[in-house]
Amino acid sequence: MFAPPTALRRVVAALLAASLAAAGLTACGSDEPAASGTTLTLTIRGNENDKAVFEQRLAQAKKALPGIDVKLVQIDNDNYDTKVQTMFAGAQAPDVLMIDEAVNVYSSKGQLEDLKPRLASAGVDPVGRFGQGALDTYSTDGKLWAAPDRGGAMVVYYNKDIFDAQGVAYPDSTWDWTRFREAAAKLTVRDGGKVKSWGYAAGDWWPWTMTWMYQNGGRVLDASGAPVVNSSANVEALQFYNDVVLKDHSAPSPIDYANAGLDNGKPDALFEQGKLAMVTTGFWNIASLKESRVKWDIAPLWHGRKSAVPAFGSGLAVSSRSRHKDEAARLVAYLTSVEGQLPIVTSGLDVPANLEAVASEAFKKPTWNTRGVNLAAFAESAPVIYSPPLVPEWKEMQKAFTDGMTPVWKGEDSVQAGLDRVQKSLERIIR
Amino acid sequence: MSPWLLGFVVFTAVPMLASLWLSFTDWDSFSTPTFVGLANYTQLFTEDPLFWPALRHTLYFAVASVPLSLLIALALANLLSRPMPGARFFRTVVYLPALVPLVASAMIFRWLLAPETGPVNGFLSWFGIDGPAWLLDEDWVIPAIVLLSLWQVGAGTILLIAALQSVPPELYEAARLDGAGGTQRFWRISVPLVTPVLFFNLITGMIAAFQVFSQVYVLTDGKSGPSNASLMLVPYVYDNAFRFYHMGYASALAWVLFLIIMIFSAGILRSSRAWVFYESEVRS
Repeated sequence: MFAPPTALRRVVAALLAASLAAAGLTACGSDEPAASGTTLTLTIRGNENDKAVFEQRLAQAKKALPGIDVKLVQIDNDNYDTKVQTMFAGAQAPDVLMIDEAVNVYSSKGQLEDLKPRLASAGVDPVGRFGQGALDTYSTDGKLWAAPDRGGAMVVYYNKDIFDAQGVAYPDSTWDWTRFREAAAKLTVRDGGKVKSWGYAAGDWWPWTMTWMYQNGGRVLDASGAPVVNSSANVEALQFYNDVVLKDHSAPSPIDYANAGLDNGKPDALFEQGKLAMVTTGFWNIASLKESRVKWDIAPLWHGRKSAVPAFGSGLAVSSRSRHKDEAARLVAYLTSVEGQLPIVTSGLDVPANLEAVASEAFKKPTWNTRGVNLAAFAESAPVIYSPPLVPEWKEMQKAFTDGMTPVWKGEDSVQAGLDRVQKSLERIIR
Repeated sequence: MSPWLLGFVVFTAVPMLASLWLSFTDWDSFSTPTFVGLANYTQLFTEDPLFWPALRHTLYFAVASVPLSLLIALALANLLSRPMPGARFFRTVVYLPALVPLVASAMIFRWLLAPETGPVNGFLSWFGIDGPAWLLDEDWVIPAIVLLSLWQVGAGTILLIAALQSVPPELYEAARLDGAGGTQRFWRISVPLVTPVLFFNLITGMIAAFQVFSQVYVLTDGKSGPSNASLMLVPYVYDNAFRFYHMGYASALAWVLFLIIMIFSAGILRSSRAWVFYESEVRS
């Protein structure tokens, strides 16, 4: 061991002083008294549309919570995690941040405030407001790190015209895997050996791959958090999926995606062009398909041995470094109330996380729904949503999965060998 | 303290020293860094299953793309430096790809290199060659990235054109009178006189090749190709720093990369005495 030279140490000390101060001194948790006009910083991820809806909500919050000003920082999806991480590292952490799968990256490092007592003191009953499933996603060890804000189940988008032409009944939650596989094969339209339109499309993305495993009774991590990814249930599940792609050719393989000029596992364009009968994705596709010439609707996902549906969403967390935790928690409580969530509904942006808002007429029959999209599919799927294992090493887990399974998706290796590789990587990564 | 020096200290020296210090710590970019001595470096050289492949791929890319770029740039410059009708037009065309944003270029390349529908494999099939799946094939993904880097050869070409045009015409005259042919004139006069520019292109090209990031990031899914077949050092640094929150480890990786680039640059600089020709050394 050696110590760095003193000059260098001084330089580094100066650089780190700020973050130390932030980490050490605010731990006393003494909030500054709410003087008139506290300004909170709130970071959100997304595009201009996400920003516009949030601005509406904040305008309402301003009326409901006079004395709290909010500075909204919108960051595009690709740079969000990096930018927020940099803000934290530079002792410029936001007071409130939109958070999703990275929740435990922050919580495990003591960067988030437990919202349980704070919501209780604001008179909010989290289970009643959000449901246990959504809370589990953002909880570890009985602490709640974020209040669910947006998000709902992923559903099956289907092209009615292809279903009608091929004489297949529309999908619903009573479908099992066999039924799904038969339908996918029947819905794949070929013209002289060339596929004109695919029955189904998926790829190497956790809500797709993991769902097969969970529906087959498999898991990625066991109850103690140890990797169990190469179990027989998981091998069987991914074998089934890979057979749909490589044996039946009912769904595009990585090569087929490349031939279509698409990123691997990005089937949205195929659906919009009417070249795809079914795709599993989230609420956000409704907005992009509003103007589509394709006749489409949505349905709840099929089931395997069990029902398991992936969900996509985001929560609002309060930074443990905030100097205004009380105000921040009050803002979060308001934004996740029915009133605070209404703009998410009226704009058709997403599924609100607030159960009362999901059950409201405003959500079930919104004015924008001129197509008559079956929005009840979201409420129907809600009880069977599963929580993915959002460990702090979540992103490394994704990479391990992709690296281990790529040869399998190309048909160059067995599912068992691929999952064995993933298991080995996970044992190294998850400590 | 001059403004330049102040800027250098604040924006270059201090961050470099800070990252050097961080490379001896375990830091997740949130909590306080803890000093771990050489642990990051030992992990990197002995335990990390991805460091050596990343280094190997980066070397492969640099060794393949830099000399090829130089040769192509020199050949193009030699063609385009002569007075001919439409010379300006062709020079513009050669430079255009360098102006296309990389993401757009990558989109074009994905289409060009599509396994069964892409023009490149279509062209190969005329000769009975069954082309590879390029970006999806572990053996062909790095050659595909090399191709994308050659697409941007225009900038180096422009520099070489300028250099070739500043070769004194009387040298060619004299050589012609002595009976030297075109090939001889090129190798004996043009090339030696543009070696300073070749040298500049070689150094900058080499440094850029070791730091290849965007090409890999936009061209391959998963940012590292099929089964990490195109994993390069800088994307690996980025992943560790900003996706996996191993900021200390990423700093150690970055310093190892820095040393590698230093060694290569020093080697090229030392060799330059043997082959770079400065006119001023002769005529003075």
